[in-house]
Amino acid sequence: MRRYVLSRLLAAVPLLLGVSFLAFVLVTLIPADPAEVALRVNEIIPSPELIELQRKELGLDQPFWERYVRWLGNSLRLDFGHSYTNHHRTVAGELGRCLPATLSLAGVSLLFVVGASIPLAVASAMTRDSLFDRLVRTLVFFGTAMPNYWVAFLAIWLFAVHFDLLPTGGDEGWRSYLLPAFTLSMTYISTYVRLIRNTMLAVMQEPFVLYARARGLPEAAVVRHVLKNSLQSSLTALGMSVPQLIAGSFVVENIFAWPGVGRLCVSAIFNRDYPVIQAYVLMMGVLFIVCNLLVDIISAMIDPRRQAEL
Amino acid sequence: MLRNLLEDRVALLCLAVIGVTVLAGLFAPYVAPHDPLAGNILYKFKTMSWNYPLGTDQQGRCVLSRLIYGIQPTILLSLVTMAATITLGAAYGLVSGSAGGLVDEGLMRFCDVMLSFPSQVMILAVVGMLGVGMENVIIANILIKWAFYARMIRGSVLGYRNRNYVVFSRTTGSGSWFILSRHMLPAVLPEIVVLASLDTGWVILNISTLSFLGLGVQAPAPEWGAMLNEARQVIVAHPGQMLAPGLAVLTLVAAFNMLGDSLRDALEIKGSGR
Amino acid sequence: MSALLTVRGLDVALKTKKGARTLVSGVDFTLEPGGAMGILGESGSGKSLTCRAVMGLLGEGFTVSGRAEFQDRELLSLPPKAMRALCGREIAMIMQHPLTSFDPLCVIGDQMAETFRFHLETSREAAWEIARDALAAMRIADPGHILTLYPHQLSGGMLQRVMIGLTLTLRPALVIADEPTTALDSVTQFEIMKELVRIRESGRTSLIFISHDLGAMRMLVDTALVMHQGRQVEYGPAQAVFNRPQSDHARYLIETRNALTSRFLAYAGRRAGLDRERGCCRAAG
Repeated sequence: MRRYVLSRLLAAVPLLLGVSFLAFVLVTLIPADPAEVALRVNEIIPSPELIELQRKELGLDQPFWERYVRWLGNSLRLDFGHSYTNHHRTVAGELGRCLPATLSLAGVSLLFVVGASIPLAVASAMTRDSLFDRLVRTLVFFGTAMPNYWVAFLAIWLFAVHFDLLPTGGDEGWRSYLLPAFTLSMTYISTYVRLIRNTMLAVMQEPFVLYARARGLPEAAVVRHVLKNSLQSSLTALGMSVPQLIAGSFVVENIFAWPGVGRLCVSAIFNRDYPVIQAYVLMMGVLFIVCNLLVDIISAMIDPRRQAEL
Repeated sequence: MLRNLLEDRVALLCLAVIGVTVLAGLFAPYVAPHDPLAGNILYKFKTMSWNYPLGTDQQGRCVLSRLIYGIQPTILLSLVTMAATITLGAAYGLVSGSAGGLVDEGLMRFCDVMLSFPSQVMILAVVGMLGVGMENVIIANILIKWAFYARMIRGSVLGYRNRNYVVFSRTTGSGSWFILSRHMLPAVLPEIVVLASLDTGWVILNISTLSFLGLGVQAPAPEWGAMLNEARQVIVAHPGQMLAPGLAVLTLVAAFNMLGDSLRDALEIKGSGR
Repeated sequence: MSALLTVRGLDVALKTKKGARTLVSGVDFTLEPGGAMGILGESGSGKSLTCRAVMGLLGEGFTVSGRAEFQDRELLSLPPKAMRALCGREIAMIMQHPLTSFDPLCVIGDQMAETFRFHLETSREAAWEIARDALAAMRIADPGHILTLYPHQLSGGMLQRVMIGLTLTLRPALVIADEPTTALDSVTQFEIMKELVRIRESGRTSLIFISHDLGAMRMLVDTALVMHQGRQVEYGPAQAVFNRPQSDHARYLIETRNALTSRFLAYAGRRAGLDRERGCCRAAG
């Protein structure tokens, strides 16, 4: 077990380095001189002297690799520098301020995803080709084809404007979670209902299901075997939905004026606040790798077939 | 296999929807009844009429004309994006798979890094650094997907390299380009077509989402996502404004997805892809 | 003595988009208590389908018609719940692929015990005890340990013996063995055949043995049924079917097999002769 975890951890190191390098290189892609941008966003008319000074301050006069190593070292200490638009605020502070809102929204959405997709998929697979199954499949199909910002609108109009039941945006207690979490989870619910349903149908074709029936087990016990095996193989995908929900929240956060990191990043894009964008990208990349790692380890732990390699 | 597809009414319907839309987009100036940008402040929020089949928006512009002109930035650019993605991915995958050894290893590790970046973050990163605008949204979309195709095509190259007919072809002295184009590409083509169809729907959604956020096509220009962004401002008084562009996106994405599913059935490709 | 299982005019059809497709038609046979019947035929000839239809194990897409009378009960019109209670208890099945016939995420003991708990209505502990005895009866060493293992930790032959042990513990009136030796190596095949012969000789249990292995079939059965493309082409006492096949297809199957055997024997004999000449004796496998 320990050896497996260690080897997975070691394998993640080059990936983390690659992601950090990519996040760093991104800034060099900027068509303009970052020093000039940093001045302009604060409405300072850039003169050659000022630009030179700003370059020194941002460390842009040093060679590329030295800058990367220093930036990496700082990032490891969670020091991402200061925001261009607001010199009094550190990037880490800004992200830290906005992260809880995003995490709680993603958490509620994950509950929606798990709570809706598993029962729907199971019921749909069990009653294959029934009216219910066809209804679920239609909903799933439109769920993946509908733009989720449009769904958000329809939901806002129906529940917030027309019936005046829920707030249109902001974070004001549990009721303001419902619409954003529903919008955010919709696409994922559709994806996972489809995935789990198809997995279940595939598992039902396995010989061990036929043998369970041939042994005379009651249908409830047979379903238990099918479920256990289907969920086991769907777990990896479900686990990966966690970082996707966190990273994918930027659209929903913008529509519902949700004070999270996604909205922070989009407004940073409009303000050309590069350190914030860079830190956001790095954070999300690392989050994905870490989640991937955890899901891998957990699924190896609960699968008896893989315990030999642990 | 082609006959299967032609017998499939759903697939035909999807193809028809896509074909008509693409044609309407290409010939937008001849098809659209009005100038998509010319507003008439006296004709705000008109309902359907002969003159304005889908009514007008808050600046008195013809909604139908804006929808038709919006096809170009939405579908045509998605198709361009997919073409570029597949070309890049195919080239990379073929080089990696044929080269083998250290080159292959290095190229594939780079692919891993690209794939470990979540798509949403990649978009924000590229658009964030290169700036707001349609070109950058397209670049971002290509950057997200190419590694996926590269890896798939490399896998097929490796898988087919040792198939009997390829080995036989090599022993008879065919050049490697001949083998690639005559044996390997036809073998992976069906899979690519299915994935490309499904991914086109995804790219359409992506482009419209970013335009909606104001990161892609800019406001007065007619684009479905941008139109929805404008409709958002009048959601309380005129909720009907968001119906037409939303339904347009939904229909097209649905058509591409359904086409992809039908193709998968017709070509009998196993697995669920994404 | 009345027959144990009487099947008359059994048809199986699969509902498809283009209407129903008939997969099995017109199967008739009678199995006496303590009898053993072989169903012979190449893959896809409808052997397994026939047996699964009788046990009510076909999915919703299939339609089964005809009659199948088992101990004075009409199986095809039995409510699903009653049919399921009969499965395992009265009619048991031994599967073709032992490696994939057990839930890979459950230990063997749990899967055996749940069967016993349902049919014998005992507690969990008692069911595990019965499972241990079942393995011991199969002369499996250290049954307590085997019960705590997952299917992937056991060999195909071991799993097949577990399956036979599980089957026999419930003392069913009829055992259907669906190509039980196909997926095994030849040494293990021999072991499993010995177990089947033991079932046969106990006299309590009737056997339906599905196979395309004529040699194995000769060891076991007293009646034989030959199937070809979903149709029953020959049915009668085993000796008659094997020695004087009436239908073209049965004759073809049996002659091919005999030709193969005689060629093999001729070859093996020549080989043995050569070996003897060289003065080295090899044990024949």
